[in-house]
Amino acid sequence: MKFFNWFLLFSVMVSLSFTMHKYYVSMTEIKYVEEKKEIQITMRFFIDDFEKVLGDQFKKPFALATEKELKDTDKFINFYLIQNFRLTINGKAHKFHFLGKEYENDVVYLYAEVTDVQSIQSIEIQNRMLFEGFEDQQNYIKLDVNSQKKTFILTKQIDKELIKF
Amino acid sequence: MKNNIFLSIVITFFSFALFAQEKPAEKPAREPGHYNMSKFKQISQELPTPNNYRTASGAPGHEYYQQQADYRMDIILDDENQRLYGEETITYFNNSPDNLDFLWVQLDQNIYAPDAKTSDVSASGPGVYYNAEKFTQSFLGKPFDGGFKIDYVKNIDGSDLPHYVNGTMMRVDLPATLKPGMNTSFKIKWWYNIVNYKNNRSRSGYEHFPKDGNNGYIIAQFFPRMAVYNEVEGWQTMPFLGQGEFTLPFGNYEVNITTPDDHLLDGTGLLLNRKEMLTKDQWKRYEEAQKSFDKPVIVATQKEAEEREKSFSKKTKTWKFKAENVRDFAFASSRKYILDAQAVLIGGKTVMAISLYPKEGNPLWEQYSTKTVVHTLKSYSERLFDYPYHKAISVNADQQGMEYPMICWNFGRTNEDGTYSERTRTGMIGVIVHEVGHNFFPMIVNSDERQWGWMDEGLNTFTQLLAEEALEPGFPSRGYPKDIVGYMSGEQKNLEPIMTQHDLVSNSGANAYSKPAAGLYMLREVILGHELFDRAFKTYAERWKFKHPTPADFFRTMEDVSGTELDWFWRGWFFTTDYNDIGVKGVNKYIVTDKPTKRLENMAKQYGMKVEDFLPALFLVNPDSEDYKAEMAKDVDPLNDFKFLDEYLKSNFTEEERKTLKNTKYFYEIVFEKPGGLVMPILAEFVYADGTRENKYYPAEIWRFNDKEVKKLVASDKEILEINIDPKKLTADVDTSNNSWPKKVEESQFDKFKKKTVDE
Repeated sequence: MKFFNWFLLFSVMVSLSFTMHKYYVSMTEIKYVEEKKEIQITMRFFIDDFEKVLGDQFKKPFALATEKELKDTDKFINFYLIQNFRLTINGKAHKFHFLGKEYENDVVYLYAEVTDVQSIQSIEIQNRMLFEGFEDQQNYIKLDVNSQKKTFILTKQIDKELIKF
Repeated sequence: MKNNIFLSIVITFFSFALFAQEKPAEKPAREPGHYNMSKFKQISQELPTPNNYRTASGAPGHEYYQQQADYRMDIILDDENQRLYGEETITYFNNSPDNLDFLWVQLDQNIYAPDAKTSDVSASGPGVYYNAEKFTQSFLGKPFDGGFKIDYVKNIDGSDLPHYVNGTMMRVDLPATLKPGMNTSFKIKWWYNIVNYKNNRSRSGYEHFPKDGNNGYIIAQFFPRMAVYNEVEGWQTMPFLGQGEFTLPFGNYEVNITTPDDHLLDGTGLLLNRKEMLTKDQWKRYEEAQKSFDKPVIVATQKEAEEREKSFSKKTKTWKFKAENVRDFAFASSRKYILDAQAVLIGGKTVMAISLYPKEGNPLWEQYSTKTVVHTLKSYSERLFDYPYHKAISVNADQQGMEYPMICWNFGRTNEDGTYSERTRTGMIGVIVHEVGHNFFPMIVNSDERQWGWMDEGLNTFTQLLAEEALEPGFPSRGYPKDIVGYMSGEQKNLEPIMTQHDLVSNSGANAYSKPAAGLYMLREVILGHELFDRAFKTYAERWKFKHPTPADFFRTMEDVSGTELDWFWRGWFFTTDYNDIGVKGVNKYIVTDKPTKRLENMAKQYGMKVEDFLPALFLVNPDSEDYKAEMAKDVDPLNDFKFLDEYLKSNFTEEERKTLKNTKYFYEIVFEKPGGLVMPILAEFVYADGTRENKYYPAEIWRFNDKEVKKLVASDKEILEINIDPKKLTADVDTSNNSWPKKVEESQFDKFKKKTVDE
């Protein structure tokens, strides 16, 4: 299965001929690359949702994906990530490095990595991103660690999950 | 008794015999037989038997019939209390060959009744939050008092008609059997509380604008509507649960709608008194719009709408509509509406493209809505059939996207300062193309939406995609095969086949919209080609316009008109959750030689002949085989190296002809593997040593004798350096890591990004 192939959820939201319930969903893919001893993190949000939450928190007109986008946007995204996304590997909290972002149509991708991970016996993921902006926000996590693939949903009520190998 | 004893002896004997056989374990147990398991077998098991109503070619049969329901309605919109009152006379025509003792009427509003089954059949847990109204409705015994209040159901002579309400359906018992060819009329008086659609996430209702105290009404499923009776389902009485949409007969409508006299309203059908309903200036501008083919004319201005917003008039006026051959009726009404319109020429007739929107949609809506309606009507008419109605309206309604005959609700609001994001703009254009497009599927090609969401959503999403491609290059459409890979490669427990009743589909967006659209895109781009596909698709639409098609009618028409056997495609893509995964397992190179091989020796032996009897001849030798000898490694030049071939060519071809011969010296046996369950054509791209590329198409039938692996010999005068499967991503291949020879290590999106940022 290709790494970045699992976006069935996003196709739900695009537009139904039914009431546009707006679905508040994000997708985070977490992949452990054993040869490189690193964890690769790719996140996917709707630009409009992400911008609203950033704007509310930092009180700035970020104007994402436009010519007027603030130059130091990445600094604030990094700050927001550190506040809301945590990885605990083998019982220890790990720092990650925010690499940057990319836009595609109505979606923003965030990239981050954790280096020097020798092995993974357990991993706990906490993802509280966008919860303060949207009560029914659902953050999907797609995990690909030690040749095992797992998918689960984090919500405001249950915002973290521990996986043991 | 005697026989039984004999039988038991025989059975015992055979059991011993079996036992005796198994013990020495010399012969393996014989494999059991099986039914025809070919993925290419005829699809007749999955489809109903053709008959005189629906032919084997997919067209309506010579006994095809459909029922008709005509409506005369007087409607009152009570804006102060958000209520709708109606008195209707239904005339039902029994065109079937069957006697009917009762009729079924749909009461869709009952989905909001306090005792609705809809919420009982939905699993639930605690909500995220409950505002005061919601808490009171949910827990304090004061639920929203929705649903039809039926004042009476009466025969035309005024006598009461017995009726029974079963959820969203009502059976009306007729005083006398309705015989074939006869019709009956009856009256229903009703009212209901209009739902706030933003609170209840419904397809129709009202939106409240707290700033000015006004409401925008988008009113549909608002009257008791006849259910469909046909030879497929009998009465189609599946309950309305919310997801599976509507199944409705065609008919003619006369509708009078009374609203406050400062409202602006439009709806399905011809507005008979439009002149009377508009101001003098507005009527003048509307007449202008009827002649304006290049741009919309603003008929009711924003300034006028802002004035009307404040008036809250107690006086009323009545809007008079007449609609012919429609399957439904809907309208939108508010003080807040701005109206613009443009004329568009379709098949020699003028159609009006109209938009209704509050100022909250501007300036986006005055720029794009009507223009998008115009484009959609043109694009769909070209592809399917000329749009037969006289107008198409796009109404701005927050968070909506819903279709009715000649009118639809579409989302798209600007920020308070009038700015909007690119996502808002493309989202709004996309939803307008989609909902206006629904006029074709299912408003005119009138499929059973309650059962088959894909028949209108899938076909429409596909036609929408082609319309959007023609509107703006690079428009973010969905429905391409690559867009459905995520869904199809997901966990099987989350998937259902497309051929699943719509209320049983867990991911409607992917299952009923994107996947069927992607399938049709593949049929057009890969399997049939544009010419065959377009003609077949158009024929389906023409055969079934103003009729009720079923899935089999679609599948059969596509095969009938394209002359292509597609049973394997329908079965795989529509009836299973299988996915496509095709790869190159390996490539064996061969060398051409005139030295006889072991294979030939064996064959000669088999026929009692000598090797020499077959000579002279050429042979293909694998460098790994025992036939291979070191001297074969030199560069072979078939046109010059083999005397007997040269003699043959000289005696059979002129010098001119010989100049055109290919000097073929590279031979490859390509092993294709298919880990995926779907059968699919192989789209192979060969990259040659000189840098040129060639695409080779192997039809899906290549898999008919081996579903897992096939080999193909490819000969060329140029060396092949690389083979890629489906390089344009047209077949929804869920795993592309096996798509290339030699194997390419695929860079993940993450790796690509990281490399890019490091390079910078």
